Amino acid sequence: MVSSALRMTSPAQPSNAPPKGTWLHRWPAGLKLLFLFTMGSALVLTDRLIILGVATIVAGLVCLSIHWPPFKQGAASSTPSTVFVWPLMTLGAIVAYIGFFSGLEQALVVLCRLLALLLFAVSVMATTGVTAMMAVVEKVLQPFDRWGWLRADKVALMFGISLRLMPVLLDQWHEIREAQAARGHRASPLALLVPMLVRTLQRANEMADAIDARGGSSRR
Amino acid sequence: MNSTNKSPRLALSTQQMVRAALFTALVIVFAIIPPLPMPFVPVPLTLQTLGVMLAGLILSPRLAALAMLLYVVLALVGFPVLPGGRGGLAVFAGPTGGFILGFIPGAFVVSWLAARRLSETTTAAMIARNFGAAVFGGAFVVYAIGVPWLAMVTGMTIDRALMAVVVFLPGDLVKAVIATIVALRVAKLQVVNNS
Repeated sequence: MVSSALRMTSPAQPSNAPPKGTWLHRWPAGLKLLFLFTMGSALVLTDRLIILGVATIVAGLVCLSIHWPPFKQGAASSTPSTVFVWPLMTLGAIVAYIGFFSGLEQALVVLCRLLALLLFAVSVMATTGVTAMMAVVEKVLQPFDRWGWLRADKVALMFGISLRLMPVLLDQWHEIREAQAARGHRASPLALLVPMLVRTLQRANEMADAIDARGGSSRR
Repeated sequence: MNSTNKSPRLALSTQQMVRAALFTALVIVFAIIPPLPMPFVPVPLTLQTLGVMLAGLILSPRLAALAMLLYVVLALVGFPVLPGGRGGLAVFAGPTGGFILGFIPGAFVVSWLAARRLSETTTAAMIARNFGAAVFGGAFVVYAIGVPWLAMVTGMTIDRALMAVVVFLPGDLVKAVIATIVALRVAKLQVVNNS
């Protein structure tokens, strides 16, 4: 589920035009982001397991309804879906830690809270193009722009670049890992990190040139 | 210098913006990939705070802080950009919220103390200075915000919260060494020409 969410914003598909529309695709991006933020805040305010449990089930159903039928492989990506095993293991470790120190109920509360948020976030990311999200960010920041605190269009651009390039950098990381493995190197941190940083900085220069060539960040 | 699209208010060139945004993406990637196995040490290396140190050692103070601010905002909106696919206000209300907020001043301080240009100093001096910068900013500054936060959220005394965090110090020292060497090699490859 998580992998196809990220694939939606990976280069295989145009990010601003989701190919097939589920019901959640048709929601306005602003509403989805507001919902995500509200959930992230509201689920902190309650410790009632029943409420958090219901939220988790709802989030699971939303996620399933978007990715129906489940486990279908989408567009090709060099990122293996096993990368998402680690975040889930981390989540499990956090819950186990809380369970050990604060008891089963507290552990379930935290598990439901984090899982519900993760599932909602994945659903929103899977059904919202980066361009649409950038438009929302720009709109939300418009008042601050008028007061002269920041440039809403620039912040929105940075927001979009981060979200859009995250899956690309993830692919880049796996490419480097595979390249080092093919040369018979055992994965040493330096052999992975140096090319990762160098390529990322090169990419930044190329993207900046491309944006400037299109007049991207000088709308005013 | 590169772009000249400077507004009087936020005088960031396109290149600086893209760089900061890409470092945000890099820290997200570091937060969700599994830890790296290390030679000689049985404990694997988690990468997230390494990303904070690297941002500080490679970007200017302002850009490093900006990259981390963007990361925090993405997490706050609810994107699953934190380790374990976490995100949302829930995390900031939790015990680890202070450490994540601490990334912003942490990266700033690393960058502020670091030497980024090889031409201005010898390699040995640069290594020593950047190691100190990475430890001070990437570990101590982050703890300085994270520990009181942890104490406040969990109701521990500051002393106990500090004890709970001290176990991470050896790992952070190793990360500072790695970040220093990586930043030096990247500087030698001269990709980082300015900013």
